[in-house]
Amino acid sequence: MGRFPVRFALLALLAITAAASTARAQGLRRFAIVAGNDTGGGDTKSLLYASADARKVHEILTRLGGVKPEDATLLIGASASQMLSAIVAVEMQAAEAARRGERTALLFYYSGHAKDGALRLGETRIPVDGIKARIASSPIDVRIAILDSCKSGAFTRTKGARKAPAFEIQSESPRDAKGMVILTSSTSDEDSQESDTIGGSYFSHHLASGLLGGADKSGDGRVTLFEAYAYAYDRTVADTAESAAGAQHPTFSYDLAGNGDLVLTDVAVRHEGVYLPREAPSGVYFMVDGKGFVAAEISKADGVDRRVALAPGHYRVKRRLPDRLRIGEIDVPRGQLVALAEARLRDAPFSDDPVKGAGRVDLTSRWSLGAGATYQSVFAAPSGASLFPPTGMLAVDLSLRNFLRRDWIWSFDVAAGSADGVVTSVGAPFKFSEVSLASSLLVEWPGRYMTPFVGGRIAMLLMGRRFTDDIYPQQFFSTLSPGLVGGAAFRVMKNTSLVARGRLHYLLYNIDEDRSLGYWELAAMVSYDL
Amino acid sequence: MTCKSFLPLPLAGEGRGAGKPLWVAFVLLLSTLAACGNYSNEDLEYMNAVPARVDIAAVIPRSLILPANEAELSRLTHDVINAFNGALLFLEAADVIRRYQPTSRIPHGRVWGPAQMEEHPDWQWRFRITRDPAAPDVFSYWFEVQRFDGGDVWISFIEGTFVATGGVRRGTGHFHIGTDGLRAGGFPVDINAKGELLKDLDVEYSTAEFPIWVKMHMVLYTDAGLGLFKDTVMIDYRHEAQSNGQGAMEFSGTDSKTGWTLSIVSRWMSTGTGRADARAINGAGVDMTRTQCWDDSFRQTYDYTPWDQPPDPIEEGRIEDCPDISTL
Repeated sequence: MGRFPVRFALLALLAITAAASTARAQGLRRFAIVAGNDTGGGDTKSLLYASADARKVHEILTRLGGVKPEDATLLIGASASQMLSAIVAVEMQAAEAARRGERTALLFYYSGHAKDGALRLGETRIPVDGIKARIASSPIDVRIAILDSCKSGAFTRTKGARKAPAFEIQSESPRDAKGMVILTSSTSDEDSQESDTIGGSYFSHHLASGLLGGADKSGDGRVTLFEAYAYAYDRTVADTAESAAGAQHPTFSYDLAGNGDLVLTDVAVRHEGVYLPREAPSGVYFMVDGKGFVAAEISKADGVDRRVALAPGHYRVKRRLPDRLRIGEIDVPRGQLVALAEARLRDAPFSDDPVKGAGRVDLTSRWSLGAGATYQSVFAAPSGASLFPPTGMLAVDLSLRNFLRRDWIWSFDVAAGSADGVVTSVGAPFKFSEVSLASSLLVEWPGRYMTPFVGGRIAMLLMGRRFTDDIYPQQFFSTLSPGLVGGAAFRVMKNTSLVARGRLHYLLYNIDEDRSLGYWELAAMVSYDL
Repeated sequence: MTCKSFLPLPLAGEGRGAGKPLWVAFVLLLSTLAACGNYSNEDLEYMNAVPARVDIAAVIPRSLILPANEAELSRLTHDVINAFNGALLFLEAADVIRRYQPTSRIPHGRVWGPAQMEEHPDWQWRFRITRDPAAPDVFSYWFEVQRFDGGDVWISFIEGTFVATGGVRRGTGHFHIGTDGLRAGGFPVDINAKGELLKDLDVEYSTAEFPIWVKMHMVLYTDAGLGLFKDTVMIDYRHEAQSNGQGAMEFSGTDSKTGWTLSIVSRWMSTGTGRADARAINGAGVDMTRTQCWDDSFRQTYDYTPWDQPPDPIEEGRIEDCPDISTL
């Protein structure tokens, strides 16, 4: 569900003016700059879905929004200078188009961190006022900026953002529209929230669902800017009303010379997707793609039909009733619009809900490599020590963060060491050697300077000993050893941390007899973020 | 679950080395699933209870080039020690348990084998060792052989006991080697070039502390080459070794046909300097003792031989020049 705090996303978009009548307008050249950045510098927490949201919007605009692929720029994890360069490039293209007599539109979308009056693109920043002024001054007829980020309402504040549900603007002379429109995911004092369940930010998720057809209130097969905003507003407020972070209210700023509703997507042009007929029951329909992501969340009212321009593929469909689910599956072939009859759905308990959350976040995951020294000792000394003497080891570990879940660490480590020991009962000295191969699953609580973590670990221990003067044969032992891990990482440089770690492990020894030997281990390591 | 360990004894019916990589791979696979290996302190305690030849063999200083005029009893001492140590060659059969992990771990015991005998492919061997649950330092062991088609009958070849006192093979023990049972069971025993065959060998020893001592009683068939197995000679040895390299060997042999008994007590320093007293007695009342001493190059320094020219025996050198060695 809603994950607080948040994420910032900003999306600016410019687009079209389309003549009111259309995204298929003649003579309108559409450009798009779509940016997503999960990181926002050392004092922010990584977002999970900002990049994914950007990819989704990019896909919709190029498939349904009349933006040619060569006119769409997707920036994932880009810096401030890369974003500014992309704007300059589009401006040059737009100027060239204008010289040919074409009208131009730009849709600028940003999803990511915003803080202290600046968009945060990794370690770089762009002042909100600066990017806003830059887009406003671009020599493009219609500019639409959409920001999905915390407190993004600041972007519209000076333009008198309206915190209001959908509204209608009728255009009398759409072809002449010029100016700028701004949508933000939240007001200037609200956080923008992500959801693991839907696998994205609430605002971008509902905006995307609206662009796919959910927002086509008029039923004409075209989703206008105002329809999309109204749909995203209603659904975002509804979904976040009960969240811990509080309700999130998207904002809208409209400054166009000449009224005109702007068609953002044409869901009829490709004639493919899912069709919800007029007689289908009302409610919210979830379309879940093969990867488990909610591709669309469509709110259907009684007596209306909906065309959902899903990309070809296989989808699971869910509609929630008070006491049960209605679920089913549907295939969308290329170039075909498939009707979703109620008969395709069946009753199912809530436990069979296909919407279980994205489950993983591969876009924000990152690797780190650590090296250091450990010291381990069995608890059952001295008898245990005559089997497994206290041992110092050198260790290397490779950790993957935010792959399985946010703030989860999946790590792999290998360590090797040796020690001298004596089998006291026979007075036999030996050289003990050990290699461990292990994997850990940890949960961390990132802080600015210190990040504590705890978790579990399973280790494959390979141990052996060689007796002095070879008076006895070499001996070997291997076992799987589960354990607990705890510690803290202390950031000392931008990508470097010192790690102090302790482990408690269970060690089953079953050669002479079944013995449960525990061992403890302390480690000091240096970890570097790759 | 306990898997077999990494260096198994090739058991009867298994090819030596054939398929070993697969076996190792299988073990490695198993090891990923559960605790596995041969990592055992108790195995060492069982291994420790069986004497190694090196522990009780006699060590006497010797030179690669012995002088042509080596003192006669020095040469005899070396020969006796060679015979003494040669009798202990049988212990090398037991050394196998220190090269391989146990085949099975039984309550209060370990078993190695059964494994095919390399020199006698129709036979297999096993080694069993147990410890007294009430007295864990007391071990008993048996080295046994069996013909493959011999049913359940195992023939004892070596059997012994050991009381551990701590340290590597430190303690007191006894073992017996007998060949009568082997011959009766059809085992192809080896008869030496003189037509002799070991009948029985009893060894008592103590490695608990210095002096280390070993007592050996050996019975040989002297007519084994003739296939008679009636005439025997009994030979007794007693050996002591000090931590400083001093040593002594007492040898006593009786010929059952002549009735003569010859006993020799040799003592030596770590440098090689030594002395031997050879005593000959028979049932007719003859009792004479010859004394000979030698230096660190094994050349005679003193000799008294009473039986060469009785009644005026030869005496060469001064008895005061003989080393004073308290061992034995």
